[in-house]
Amino acid sequence: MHTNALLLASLAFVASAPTSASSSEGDALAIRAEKLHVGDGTVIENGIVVFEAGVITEVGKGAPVPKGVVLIEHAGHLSAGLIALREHAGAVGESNDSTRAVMDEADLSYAYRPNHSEVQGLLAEGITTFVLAPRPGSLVGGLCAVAKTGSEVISRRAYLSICTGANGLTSNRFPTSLQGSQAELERRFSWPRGVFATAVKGELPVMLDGGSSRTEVQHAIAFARRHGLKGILVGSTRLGEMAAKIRAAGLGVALSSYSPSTGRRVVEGAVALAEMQVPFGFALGSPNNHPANLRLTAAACIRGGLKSGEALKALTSTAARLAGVGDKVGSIQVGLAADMVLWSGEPTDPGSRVMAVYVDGDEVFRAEDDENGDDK
Amino acid sequence: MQVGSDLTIPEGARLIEGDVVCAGFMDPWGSLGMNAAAVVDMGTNAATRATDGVDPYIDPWYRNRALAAGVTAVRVQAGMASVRGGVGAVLSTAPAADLESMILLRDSNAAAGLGLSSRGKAPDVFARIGAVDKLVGDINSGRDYSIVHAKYAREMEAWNKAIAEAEAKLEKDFKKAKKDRDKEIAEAKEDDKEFKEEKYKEDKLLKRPKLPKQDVEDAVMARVASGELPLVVTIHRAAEMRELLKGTAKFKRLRLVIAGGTEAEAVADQLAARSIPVIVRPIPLGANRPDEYSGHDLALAGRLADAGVRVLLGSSGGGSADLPLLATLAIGHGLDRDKALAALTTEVARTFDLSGELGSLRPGRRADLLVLDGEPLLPTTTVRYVLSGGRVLISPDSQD
Repeated sequence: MHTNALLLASLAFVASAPTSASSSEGDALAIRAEKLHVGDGTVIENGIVVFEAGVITEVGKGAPVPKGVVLIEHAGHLSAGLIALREHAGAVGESNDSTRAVMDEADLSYAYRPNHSEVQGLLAEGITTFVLAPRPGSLVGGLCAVAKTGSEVISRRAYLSICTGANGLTSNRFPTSLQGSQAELERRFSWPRGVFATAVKGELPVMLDGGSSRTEVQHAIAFARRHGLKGILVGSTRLGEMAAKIRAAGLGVALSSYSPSTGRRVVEGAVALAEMQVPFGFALGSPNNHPANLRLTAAACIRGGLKSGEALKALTSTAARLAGVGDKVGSIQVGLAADMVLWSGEPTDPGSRVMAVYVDGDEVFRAEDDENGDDK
Repeated sequence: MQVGSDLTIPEGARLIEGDVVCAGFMDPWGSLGMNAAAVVDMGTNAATRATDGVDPYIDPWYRNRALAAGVTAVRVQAGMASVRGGVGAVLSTAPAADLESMILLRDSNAAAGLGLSSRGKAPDVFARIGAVDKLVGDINSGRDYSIVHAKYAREMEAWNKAIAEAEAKLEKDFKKAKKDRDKEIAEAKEDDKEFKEEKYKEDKLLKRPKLPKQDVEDAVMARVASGELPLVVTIHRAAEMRELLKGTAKFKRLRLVIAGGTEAEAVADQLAARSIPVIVRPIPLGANRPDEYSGHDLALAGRLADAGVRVLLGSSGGGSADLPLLATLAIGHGLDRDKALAALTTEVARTFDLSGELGSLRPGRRADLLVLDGEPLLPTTTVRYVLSGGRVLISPDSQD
């Protein structure tokens, strides 16, 4: 990769040079795409993005390309890298502890393995940032980290992971009932210390797994309101039915992955949440779900009536904002990280191919048989 | 009746306008319309008929969902994970008043499953290769069966002819023979002797051919060996596919169809050369997947198509309504858009001998078609109208 970058530097004036390149060494790069999706809903025709040292420095239709900067022409779409809001990739057995119900100080950033094959697999689907969360099974699973795929952790305290529903129960340790878990969480949040106090102050958002039944979700929402918690609801397929209540509680949502059996509720949820203007993104839950599920879920929602632009926001800028890293990733904006995906067509069409992926300005993935690539 | 851009619309016909019209999608590997217990039955044999497991009373919601997604027909199978799946059928997804009107084709194929995990456990490697040999043996038995029965049919024909001739001759000789016999009886009486009937000697030539052993399973495999029925083999691993291709090379008329084919890329050359279609399941699978799917890759459909293999796309029973959406995933992982559309329409019809009925918009075909507001297989495209057998079942004002 680095030799390619050096080679490119010497070819700097050739506009149609091969595209495998890196900007992290300090060399600026520019990409012109037929359609550039900024992330806030606007699309720039023949938009140019210039980036240097991993950061976007210029964006626009006629953004000036500094002299000596390689301009890559992309016959397709460009968007910010996708963001998965609840992920377990690469954490293997380190994302939960079945023996303890409450692990308030557990720090998921220690479980992150950037070079794990599960993490690398996310890149092929255009996912450049994800929230590494504990697997369900604990009442309090610890602090979720926001990681750049194959790169570094950019937030160690994105959320405190809490299960108020049945997902937090196991049959062989306390608590074993919903009432028991409610009582335990009530106690922790009513006389809060440590991370609980930070959460109650609204300084640490929570990732609230409310469980799957309507009753459980109602309990979760009521719990968040009672303790003034900020954050997102996850783990349910019935969140759409509760859109008004979620909005009133000021919470966001990470929608579960689409599957033929639960799909309808996820789709209805997305449409209802968009209508109520509740901010939402998508959870992925790999490795138990395939990374392609993230975009498939969005596409299923589009098929069900969600606007394509709304879906892309949920996959990028809204997700970044919900994870508290909207000032770092999620949009093609000056000052944000050069995390980008070059698509063959609409980013939200699963029929579009991921042609290349950039993280911090480095090309970290390129489609095998891409004719413009230099892999062959 | 007519297809084209310059037609005379018959008087009284309803004109539906849309941007794009295409044939209804077909799921070549589905279960919609089948009784759930029939689908998961592990005790099926080569002769089990899918039509016996058809359930016209499934929740109409499932049908509507499939129709709304543009899926108008599904090839179904009893015992989808069984070693022998029996005789498959093609069903319409349209609501039907009775069982018979659901069935578009009652014997679309024979089926077998090789190396499939059962209760989360894969059969061991020797059992898997043994199962391939057993299937080859069954096809062989089928071929022998058809040879023996064809011989019997020929012999019966000759016998029937000989009997007819003998009867005609007897008819002619009957009067004379009766007269002679009466005379002989009278003479015997005169001589006070007992009349001895001439013993009837069976003409060896007129001996009725013996009916060969009848076997319903062999009878199905005979239709497979002769190429009358395609044989859908659900198989995933390269080693088993190689063994199957090697073992079946001698059956020149056999029409193999591979379902699944996770590692089919390893035998793509042979599949292309023998024109064996592969029904790919373009579903994203997570880490907890059956052993045979461990190498599952969404790029499979595209790679096989690039190698010249005929590709079909099937849901594997997981939900035919999602097949068009899943097909877009195959496109996003390298399958040509036109080939993906063919994989849901013309290729399915061709594989299961339905080309005269379904899969394309030509005069004389059954009017199973979709009216779309954009290119097929895009998430932003809405299926506006769905016609099945000429009936408008989905329209923009229909409730779902």
